[in-house]
Amino acid sequence: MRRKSNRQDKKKISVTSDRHGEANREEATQRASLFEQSNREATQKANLFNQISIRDATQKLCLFRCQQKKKKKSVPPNQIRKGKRVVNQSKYTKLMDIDDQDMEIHFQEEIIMDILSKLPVQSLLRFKCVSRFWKKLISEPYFMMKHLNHAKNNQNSQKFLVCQLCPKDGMISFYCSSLSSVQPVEDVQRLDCPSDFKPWRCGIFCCFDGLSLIGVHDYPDIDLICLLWNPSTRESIVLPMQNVQ
Amino acid sequence: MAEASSSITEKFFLTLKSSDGDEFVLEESIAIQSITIKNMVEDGCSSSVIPLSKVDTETLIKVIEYMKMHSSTSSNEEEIENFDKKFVSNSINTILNILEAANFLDINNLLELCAEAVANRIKNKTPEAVRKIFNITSDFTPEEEAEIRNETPWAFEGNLDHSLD
Repeated sequence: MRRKSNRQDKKKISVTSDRHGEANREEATQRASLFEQSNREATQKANLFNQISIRDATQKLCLFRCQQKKKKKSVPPNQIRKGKRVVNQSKYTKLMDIDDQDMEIHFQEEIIMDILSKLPVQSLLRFKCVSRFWKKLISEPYFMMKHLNHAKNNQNSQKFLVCQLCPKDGMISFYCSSLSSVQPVEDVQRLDCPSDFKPWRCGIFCCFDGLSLIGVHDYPDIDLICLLWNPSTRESIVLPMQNVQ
Repeated sequence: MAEASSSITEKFFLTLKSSDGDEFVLEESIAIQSITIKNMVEDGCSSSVIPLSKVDTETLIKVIEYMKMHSSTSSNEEEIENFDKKFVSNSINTILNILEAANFLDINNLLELCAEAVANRIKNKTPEAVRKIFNITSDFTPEEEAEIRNETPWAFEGNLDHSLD
């Protein structure tokens, strides 16, 4: 919608500039800025599109899960409705017992997932060694998505990444903290730089969904190294330079 | 739906029966915070006693306390907040039982409250303590467990909590 109106504006400007030659220069800059704006909007749209397609996929996954959940959950009322027929009572209790066992396992998984999705990543990595079942649950992409969504909506989760260069000793340090002002300062977490060497200069390019793209210089004359970094799990990969440029 | 809304003018009561056989009479408008019970009411199967085979008496009392406090008419926001704070200070085993009941009864607010509370309690605990709380026996060999610990040694550092509550 906004893009359309921009185009109309541009048309208007070109008409008026024909009539009033003096105002040409001013309008030219206006036009340039408008053009820039629409360009920006186009990239924004592209970004949005990316996000949507990703979100669509996860939504589908969630939906699938929900449906599964619904199916299982819709069992109790139906069962009990059957139970109203007094004649079938004994049969019904037997049936329900079997179903209960089935549901117990399913519910356990659901409950544990609910709890785990509210834990910090550090605790999750520690709890991977609780049992095979917990490890599998924590490593599941669906669970990771659930965890990410919870962290996004939770004001106490650590969303703020700071890269600090100490002018005295030239040390670079990263810090992670929440955006909430209520959170005590001690909750600020210090992170090691993910590179193999002690960096000379470092910068954060951008962050998305808990991942951040950072650039690290080894020494002044050596090229920049780009890393895709997950500060929560402290995992990182070096990106090939051609793609970055 | 029609049945649920008519309860505003005339009070309906439901009888809930715990797994220990104790019966509790509860106003329908309070009880239908549980989607499971609400569905039963809508399906017309709530005229007799509703058996809750998965919820024991102790847990059911707590759940009913919660539902009464959170039913829209009787309490203000501050009261509810204080109640919730006190509610989650129960022992972790009690909260896990309530969590299971909330899941079975499908009371979303209670489920969220309890899951959050359990997460807060266990986040600094050792894997050993978590196993005991959840009654889990490790099925890893010592070598496998050591491997997981070596993947992210920093996750096992710091002052970890060994207590079981």
